Amino acid sequence: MEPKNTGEASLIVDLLQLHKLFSWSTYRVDLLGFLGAWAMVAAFIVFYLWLATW
Amino acid sequence: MQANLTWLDWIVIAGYLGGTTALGLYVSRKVRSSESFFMGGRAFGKAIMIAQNLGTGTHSDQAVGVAGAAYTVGLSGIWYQWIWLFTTPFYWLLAPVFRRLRMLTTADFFAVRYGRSYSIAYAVFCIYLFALWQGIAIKGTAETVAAIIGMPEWIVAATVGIAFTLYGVAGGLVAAAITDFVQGFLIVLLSFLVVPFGLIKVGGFAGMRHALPPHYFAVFSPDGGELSAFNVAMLVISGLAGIVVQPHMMAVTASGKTEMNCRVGWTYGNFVKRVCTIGWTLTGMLAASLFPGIAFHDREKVFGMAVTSLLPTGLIGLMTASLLATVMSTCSAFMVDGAALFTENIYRPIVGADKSDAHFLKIARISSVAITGLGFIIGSSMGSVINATVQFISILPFIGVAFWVGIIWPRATRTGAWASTIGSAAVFFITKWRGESNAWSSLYSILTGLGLIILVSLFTPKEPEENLLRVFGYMRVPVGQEELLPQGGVTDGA
Repeated sequence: MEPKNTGEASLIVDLLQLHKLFSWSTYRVDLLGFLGAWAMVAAFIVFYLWLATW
Repeated sequence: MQANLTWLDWIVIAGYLGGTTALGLYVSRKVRSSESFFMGGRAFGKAIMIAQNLGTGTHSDQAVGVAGAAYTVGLSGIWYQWIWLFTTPFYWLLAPVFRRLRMLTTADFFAVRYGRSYSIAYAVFCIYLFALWQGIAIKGTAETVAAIIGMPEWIVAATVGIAFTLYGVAGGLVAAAITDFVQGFLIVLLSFLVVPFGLIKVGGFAGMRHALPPHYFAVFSPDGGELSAFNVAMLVISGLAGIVVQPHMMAVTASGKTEMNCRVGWTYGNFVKRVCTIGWTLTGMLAASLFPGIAFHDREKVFGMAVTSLLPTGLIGLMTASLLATVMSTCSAFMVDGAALFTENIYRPIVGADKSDAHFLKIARISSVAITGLGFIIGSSMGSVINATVQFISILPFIGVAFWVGIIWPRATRTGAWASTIGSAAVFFITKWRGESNAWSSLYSILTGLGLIILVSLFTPKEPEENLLRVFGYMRVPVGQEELLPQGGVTDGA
């Protein structure tokens, strides 16, 4: 029996099969959180550059 | 740099030490099994997971080290800790992998994936690392606190050691995580307490810019400096390759009740730490503005100097309690995680699994104390905190490459893993010996490790199907859908 598609499939575990398996709905939780975390990184960098030039 | 402590300072310090120990002992009442000792019954919510990740991963020697680096090189000193900034988004993806493995330690993973001998070698190496890290954390904090309050270093170290050992031995990860929740607030406080007082004294940011030369505000050190763009990039790659095999990761990332709790805890607990790093860097730069001329080898003393020179009496006690909080939160977790590695991955396979759970719980408690004792011994022989940080970032990828490939590529074999670990270690040390920088040695080492595990795995027998089912079958089933877990896989180490 396959796991239900709750958007929680793992990008890392499926990395070598992504060309066959990828869809937004399958990896929704991974993708949303990963992009959100990169947005946080961007915010940190902007703040750092502001500190350097202030 | 000794401060004049008032009775209020001493009440705060004593209240913190007594209160934390009492809280840890209070929550330890429910610890009845080895799994609740090591993993807190996997019942932690988001707030506890954030605090646990912040508390375990943050200790005052890091604040002292970054402030010292910022004192010397300026704003770019932040990269000693912000190298982890670019690895942080990956924690969101990795957290469910750890949680879904449903194992107690990373050595359990290696036992199933690459066999018992690789697992035991990893466990022995990590117990040494835990002792080393405890030694670094205790030594760094004791030095700073002893200088602030004017007591001998060994008294500070012993007091801290007795406090966290008491509640850690009794309550395991539950006590460590609950006390982390309180200590997390103190860590944030520690990071920024000095900054407003320093800014007032130096004349604000404008005053600091006026007092320091322009290179103190460079984004990276000039080329060839210790924090050039290439060196930072290599520390990021090495950090990402090695983070997965830091031996406490299984406990601090997989003890959440849900996958989302684990993701939020690991990712955002570390983002809080990145915020704290800004405070440490500003403290170092303020110290450079106010107390110039301190020798390079004394740069890690500037944090304590800023505390005693800038904080008013009354707040020094709070700062001292915060410094103690960072080391206690880290060491209590390391103590429990080291005990898990010894008990589950060395003692249990040798003595046999037929003993009662109560027996293994007793062994876990005894080994906790032994690992902390080893940490005290190792700590007394440690050099610079920053050097130690750079060294362990470089060494962990020797094993980290095998972990990464092991969760992505089912064809990877135990012979390939051994070849990768031995080959990458050999290349790292040989290139270092030939005079290459740490960054170039790390690059050669990681590429060698990656090449060897792929090449050797292709020419050696596949791992048994039931072992692969236990790893890949479990990693594909989200927490909460356990009825879908594959049957018939090995349960060894689970």
